[in-house]
Amino acid sequence: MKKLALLVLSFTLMLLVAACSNEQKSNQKTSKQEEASANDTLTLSWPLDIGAVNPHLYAPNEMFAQALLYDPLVSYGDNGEIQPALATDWEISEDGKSYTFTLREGVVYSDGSSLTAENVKRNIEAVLQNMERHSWLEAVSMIDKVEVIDELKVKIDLKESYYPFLQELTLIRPLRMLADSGFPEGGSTAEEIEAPIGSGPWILTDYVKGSHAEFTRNDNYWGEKPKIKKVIIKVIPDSQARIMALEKGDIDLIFGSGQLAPVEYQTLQQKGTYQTLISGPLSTRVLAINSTIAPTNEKEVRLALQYAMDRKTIVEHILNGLEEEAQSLFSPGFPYSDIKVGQYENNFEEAKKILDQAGWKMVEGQPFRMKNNQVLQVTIPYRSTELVHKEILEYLQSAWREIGIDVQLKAEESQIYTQKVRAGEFNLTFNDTWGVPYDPHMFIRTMIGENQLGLYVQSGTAISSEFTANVNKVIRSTDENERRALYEGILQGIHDEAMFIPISYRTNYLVANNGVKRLQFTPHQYEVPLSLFELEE
Amino acid sequence: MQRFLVRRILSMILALWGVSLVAFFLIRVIPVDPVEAYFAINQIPASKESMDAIREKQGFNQPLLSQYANWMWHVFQLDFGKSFVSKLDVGKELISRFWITFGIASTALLFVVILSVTIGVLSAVKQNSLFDRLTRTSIFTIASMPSFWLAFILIYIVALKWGLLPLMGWGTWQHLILPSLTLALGISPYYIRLIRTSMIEQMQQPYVLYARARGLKENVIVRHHLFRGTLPPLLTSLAMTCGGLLGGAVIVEIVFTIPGIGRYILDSMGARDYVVLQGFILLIGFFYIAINFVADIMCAMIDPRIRLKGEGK
Repeated sequence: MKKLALLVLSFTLMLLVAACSNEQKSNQKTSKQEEASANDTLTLSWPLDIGAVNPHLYAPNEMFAQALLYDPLVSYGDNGEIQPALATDWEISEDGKSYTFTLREGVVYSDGSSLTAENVKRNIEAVLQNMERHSWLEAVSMIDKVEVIDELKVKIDLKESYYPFLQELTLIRPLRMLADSGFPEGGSTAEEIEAPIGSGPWILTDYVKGSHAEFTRNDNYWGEKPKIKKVIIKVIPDSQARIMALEKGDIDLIFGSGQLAPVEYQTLQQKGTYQTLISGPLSTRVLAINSTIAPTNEKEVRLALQYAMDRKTIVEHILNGLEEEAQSLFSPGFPYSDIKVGQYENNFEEAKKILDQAGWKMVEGQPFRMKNNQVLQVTIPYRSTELVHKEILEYLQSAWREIGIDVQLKAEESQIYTQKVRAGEFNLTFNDTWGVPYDPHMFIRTMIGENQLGLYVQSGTAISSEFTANVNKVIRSTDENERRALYEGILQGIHDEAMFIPISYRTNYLVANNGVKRLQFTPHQYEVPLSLFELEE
Repeated sequence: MQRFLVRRILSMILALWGVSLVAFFLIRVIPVDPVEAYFAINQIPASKESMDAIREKQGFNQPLLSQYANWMWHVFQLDFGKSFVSKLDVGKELISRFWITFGIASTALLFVVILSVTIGVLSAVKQNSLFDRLTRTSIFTIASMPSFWLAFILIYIVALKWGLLPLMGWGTWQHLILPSLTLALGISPYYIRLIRTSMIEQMQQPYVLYARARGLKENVIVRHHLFRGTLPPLLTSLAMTCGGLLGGAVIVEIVFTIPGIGRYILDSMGARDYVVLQGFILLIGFFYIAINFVADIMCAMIDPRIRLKGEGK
């Protein structure tokens, strides 16, 4: 018995040794292969799966992936300039209600089919069929009909004139173009698509749900072709795991502020072994003030809140210097936003004076100011998962308590938070702007929409009716000068009534290993400009 | 035995029906419905009219009982419906992910059994030896570590520093080891103690004394008497742990980036994807009940007192 056991044991050991040496060889081989292919493949992490990449739908389709595959008719350039994309030229009728697009000649989808006016019409009509999901976007709800003029000319008629129409066509979704072969039987893309076939710079060549996606350069792309041949997106939901993957060399790049907390970015930066880069302003971190409920319905209280805070502390100590202090609702580089509306300096004494004058007085034995037996108290709900928001609010809580305002912070589950905010159950809450091409027009427009956060911000102020009229006017206006004047009035009103507290201009940032070259950002905060990156030879 | 089986199967069906009720109605108690959640996730400022239109289309505004009946009717035909968010078939999605999580959980279970039986038996037999004392301290240390932390330590040392195993992801048997080990290490201390205590108790029993008196070899006594005696409580509690292992796999799946059922459910919970959540609760409920059923039968086979209890009545 013992002999038999010994025999089995030695045989197993032999097998094990043989297996190990084999494995070593094959390991060496794969690492060599990897080295050979490494120079044309960029690997990056993403927190979520890219989804089915349906160009006409929202989550779980990831925006950056939609942008890699599909093209818009027109695109958003620097400073909001509308640039040709699938359409090379467009004419707008005098009344601003009719847009005729001339399509680019020779554009082919990744299945080899050509872009035609008929195909563009089919795409737009597919979006119109699913109106309930898209009606929030006026570029969709405004469309009256789509007409094919000839092979490469398509005319879109709007129900009313709407100046941001072109701007909204540049959005990543839902108005980008899918090839005919991508449409499912029945033609509706509201549920699913047959295949993700676009005309964009990349082609989806491999996809394992929840694990990774591989994009290969589209060599027939009509625009400037990507320099890198292949991009692999690895789904890594945890930020610590992402950092370890970067350290091990499993990924080359972590892109976007959604993937790394400011402090994690800084730690990687200090290591000195990686390239790090911060973008310019992409949107604004903003606190919205509810003007419809007490005590923030009083302008004086809103003003006091504005004065009693130090942006520098927040930017330096909480945001680790990765964002710039914001003095206005929109970054001056955004369309119609380069306006001097003035600013509220950090001045605690001024804040106290304003509150005293408004009748909110410190009473002996009471920790907070009071008026008519009411304590000066504001409630601020926030999403429990937003750690940066939590830190900023904790700072503000201590700052505002210093001037005698009691600040109640309420952490909520994400969905419940949204529900409360939509119901107006807040005095203040975070309401970041959306970035271009949504800003400024869409952000402003939601301020007059029913059940919207922005409505609570402006409807309790003294200028509400004038504000609403001006917003309605500005999006219908066809005259550039009139629009500029109207925007100036709107933004000035927002400032004077102290509707929002701008904190900082949000940025994107990235960390990459040294093999990735020409790292940069686009103005679009949801785009990853993979086509512009290069890899070291 | 037959009667025992029939009774157990009947109570299994009843329990599953209960699970379906809980799955369906409890989810609807949570504030915010899928339509509202959908727009919130996408940060779309949708109007009430467009939300109502979608609710109408999806049948979310029908009476709850008819929605429940409709769902059950389809479930009987093994059709679990389509996800509101991804539009994909829930049954297929759940099953494909379930196997991944099941793979981790069952490998972890294997680790638990190997670790706890060897260490537990050894420390009982060599009571109060250096080995016994050493394991006692180390298992208390491991048991008090949070699993995500343990996971990071394992990843850092084994995958990043030594480069022995892949850091994360899914696909080969190597990907299975660290996640299962993380899960197993968290649970094993409990079983090591359970086996040790239970075996020491058995040692005081008269039948062990008689076995010794009969002159049986010590390792025969350990295998046939002592260890066998610890099996029924061990099996029952392992069966209960199976559900816990599936639940614990969620954290491990996130840290190790494994596309298992845990991550899917976490996302679906955020999106209030009713159909997915209902399907998941039903699936896990079924699994839980089935495992306990198997454990009961195994116990009945090992210990005749259990199956005979029913026969006498």
